[in-house]
Amino acid sequence: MSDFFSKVVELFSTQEYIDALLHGFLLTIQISYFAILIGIFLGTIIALVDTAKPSKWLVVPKFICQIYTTIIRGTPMALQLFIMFFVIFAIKGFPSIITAIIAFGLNSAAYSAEVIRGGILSVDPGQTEAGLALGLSRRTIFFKIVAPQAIKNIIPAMGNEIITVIKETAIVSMVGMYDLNMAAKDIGSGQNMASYIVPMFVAALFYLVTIYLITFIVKRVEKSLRKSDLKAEE
Amino acid sequence: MHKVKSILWLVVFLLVTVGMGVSVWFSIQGDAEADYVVETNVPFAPFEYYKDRQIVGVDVDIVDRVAEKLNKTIQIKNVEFDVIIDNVEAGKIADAGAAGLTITPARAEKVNFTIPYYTSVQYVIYNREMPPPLRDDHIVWEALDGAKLGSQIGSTGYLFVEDEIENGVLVDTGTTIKGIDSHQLAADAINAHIIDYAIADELVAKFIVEKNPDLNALPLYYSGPTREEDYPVEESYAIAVNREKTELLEAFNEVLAGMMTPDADGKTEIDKLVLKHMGLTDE
Repeated sequence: MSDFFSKVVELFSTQEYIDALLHGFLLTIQISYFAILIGIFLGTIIALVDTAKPSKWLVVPKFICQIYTTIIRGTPMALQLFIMFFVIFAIKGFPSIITAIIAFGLNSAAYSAEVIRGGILSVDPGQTEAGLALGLSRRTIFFKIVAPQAIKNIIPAMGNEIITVIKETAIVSMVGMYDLNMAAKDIGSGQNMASYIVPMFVAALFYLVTIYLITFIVKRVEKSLRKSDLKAEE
Repeated sequence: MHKVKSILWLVVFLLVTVGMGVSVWFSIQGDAEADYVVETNVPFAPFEYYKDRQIVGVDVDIVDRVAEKLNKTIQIKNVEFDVIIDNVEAGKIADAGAAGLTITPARAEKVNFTIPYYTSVQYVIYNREMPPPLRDDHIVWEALDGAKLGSQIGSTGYLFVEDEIENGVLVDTGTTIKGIDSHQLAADAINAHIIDYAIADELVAKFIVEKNPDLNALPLYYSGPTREEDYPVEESYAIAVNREKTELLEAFNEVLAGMMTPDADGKTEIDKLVLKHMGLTDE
């Protein structure tokens, strides 16, 4: 055990290792950040198409969205990443970070779509009917009545999705990208510390702290959105 | 007040997004299109390893010389070891593979190999408290009878063991081989009791045991008629080149031939580079 702690001290007191971890961490954050943005943007579009009132114009888009979420949610992220890198973006000189962002963004979009769809559906359809009876336009009903309530239900689940994406990006080391996980492997490799165990614990700590921070922020946002609920109860 | 707050959040969001975008843009700059792409698998010190997040090593030095000779740019890319041969064969994203690749008949069917530039021996890594039966300074295949072995998946050690289990001295002995992510992880797997012994290339094994006092490594031998006639499990590293890139193959061969010519001290440039990257010389 003392060996373990002496190795922890060695890792934290070596500038080279700290640099490696921070650079790896930056890549993890870069990929996650843009993947989440793409995910929320595309996910919202998919969810809106999916929950829209059926019409002949939407038959094909609805079908495409369903196929899309089925395929993405039905296959492992590791395989999707592999296919993106070695089949779809098998282009010489194409920046791997962009490929990774697209791969994770497309994956996250399918899950975000389900989260957003669930949020929209959680609002009682009776409210939409009441709005229509009052002569409000569908647009007004969505933006003024459904969306504000849906967002409140979406935020906690979306926080969960953000956390999942950040942790899942660890598999980019599989295609040779220098993320936090790869930094740990590099530090643990033969010419450095020659043991994976301590660097892996430290990398885990990095993930843990990041995710704790995000959970904290999401909780704050959630609380501020629930303020009106509390007032109503009083 | 509410409006001011939401505008403030929007500004923060935009600033973060722009900042992130700029950082991604900077990191892309290194990916500019090169004339050739050579794939490798890090870490495999001293042939390829990260130094300040740049891939360096003996293989990289060889590739750099070829680039200089052809007056072209060559990009080195890190990928999983077991996809290199297939990627080089396809030639779509890689033109060559330099990863301490051993020439095997199955691989030679898919790609062209350069002349071999380094001869390595397979080593068995074991915990000092639980050594396999030793023959003085080496270990023979028969000593691994019934053991749980591990090696980097797709590596030569892995292929050699598979071969012995299928139609060699380890047939029907209950010996198993586990393919593990990297040689380093295979060594860690010994102490985690996932496997009994790890099989790795000589230099890699030496690096690992040097920093892990509880581990030791000895060369793996085929047993001869007598103990003195045992001979080591050898392999030769070469660079894999796509079948259609003959100009690249020729350049590699010329560079390698030059680097393997011994100087006055009887040492080749490859030997010197190996020593340099192992940190044994000051150069």
